[in-house]
Amino acid sequence: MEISKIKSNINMKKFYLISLAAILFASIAAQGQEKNKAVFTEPKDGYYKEISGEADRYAAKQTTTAKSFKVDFTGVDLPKTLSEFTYA
Amino acid sequence: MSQGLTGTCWSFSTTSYFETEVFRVHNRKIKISPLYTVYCEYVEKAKRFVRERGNSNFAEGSEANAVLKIWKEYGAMPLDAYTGLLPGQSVHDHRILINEMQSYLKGIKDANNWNENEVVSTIKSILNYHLGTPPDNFKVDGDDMTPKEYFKKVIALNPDDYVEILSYMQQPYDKFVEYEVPDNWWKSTEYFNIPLDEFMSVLKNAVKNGYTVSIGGDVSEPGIDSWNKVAMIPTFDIPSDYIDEYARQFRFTNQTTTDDHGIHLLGMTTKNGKDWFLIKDSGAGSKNVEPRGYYYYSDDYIKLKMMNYTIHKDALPQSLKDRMK
Repeated sequence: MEISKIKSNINMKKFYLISLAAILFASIAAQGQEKNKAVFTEPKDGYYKEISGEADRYAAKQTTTAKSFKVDFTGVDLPKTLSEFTYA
Repeated sequence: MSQGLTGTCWSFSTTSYFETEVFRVHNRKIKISPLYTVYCEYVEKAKRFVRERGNSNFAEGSEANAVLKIWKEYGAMPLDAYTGLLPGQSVHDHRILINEMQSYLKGIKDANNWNENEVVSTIKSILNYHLGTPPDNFKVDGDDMTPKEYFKKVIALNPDDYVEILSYMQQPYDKFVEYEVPDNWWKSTEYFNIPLDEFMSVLKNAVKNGYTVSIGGDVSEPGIDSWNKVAMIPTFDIPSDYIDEYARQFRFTNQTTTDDHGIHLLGMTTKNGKDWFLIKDSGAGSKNVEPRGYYYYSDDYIKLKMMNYTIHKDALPQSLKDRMK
């Protein structure tokens, strides 16, 4: 076997060994990490609540009532009661 | 009765009309369920939607002549047998119902899945959930009855005695024509189209002789005011003398007159030389002030804005009946 080929094989083995060691280390480190937990809690009124209330108050001030264009019935003589009608 | 938050005026107004007809013809007071008719109508709309492959209007609106069409096919039932209200519910509200049915049918159309039995079954399930399931039988004066028996024996009106009168210029006069509006979803051609002056004279003559009519047209106008209970045409819209078939057709063509409400016309009076009609209305606005459920419509308003009415043939002049043959 040529010397250059022997050197190449030794380098490849080194590479595999280092890679295997890195994977094992990462795996062991992950197993050592503590798992997070969760609980049910009542939501707290934070800053969002503070500003949303203020935003609602501002929006309410800006609301304009939609107006419809209607006849002014002042002084117009109109039927007022059912008794004015002849009906079935 | 109030139609609540629904678009079912056509059923409430025409049911009220036929209750009055039962009293006029048989001297018997009954209360008929408008919501059973609405239930069956949705089933029929769903069937047509499938048969037309989604090209048929599925919405809340309909026309007065849908009521007899449904009663002939399905029958009818008393109000106390089927209110269309769930336990604890006091106001009709179909906003979620119509949204669910339309969404479902849109899905059917998108999927190109035209299985009529499956669609009808699902529509009935949605209706049953929101309106309650109509009974197959019910008691009337101690007797068991089906809806068809109730229509035949209790309502006992001949459907062929009633006719639809229409007046607009876009179809020929003196012919049965289609009323070309979306709520005529089944494209009925049962409307006898007559000139406007005759439309008004027939109506006035009928009411003077004790008949009532179920009438439909447009109620979105500045001259309608629920707090004064009136519908009139102000001079700034069009002076009374200028109201004619052209003014009427002009508004129908430019869609400032639409087919948006059905009401029951009950009576008439003359005040300061003008004719006024007494209207029973199931819409919410009519209940703002006393007498709740009523409006007073001027004859100008009817002439310009109300498009068609259902009437008993006996109320028509012979010359008009002859032209219908």
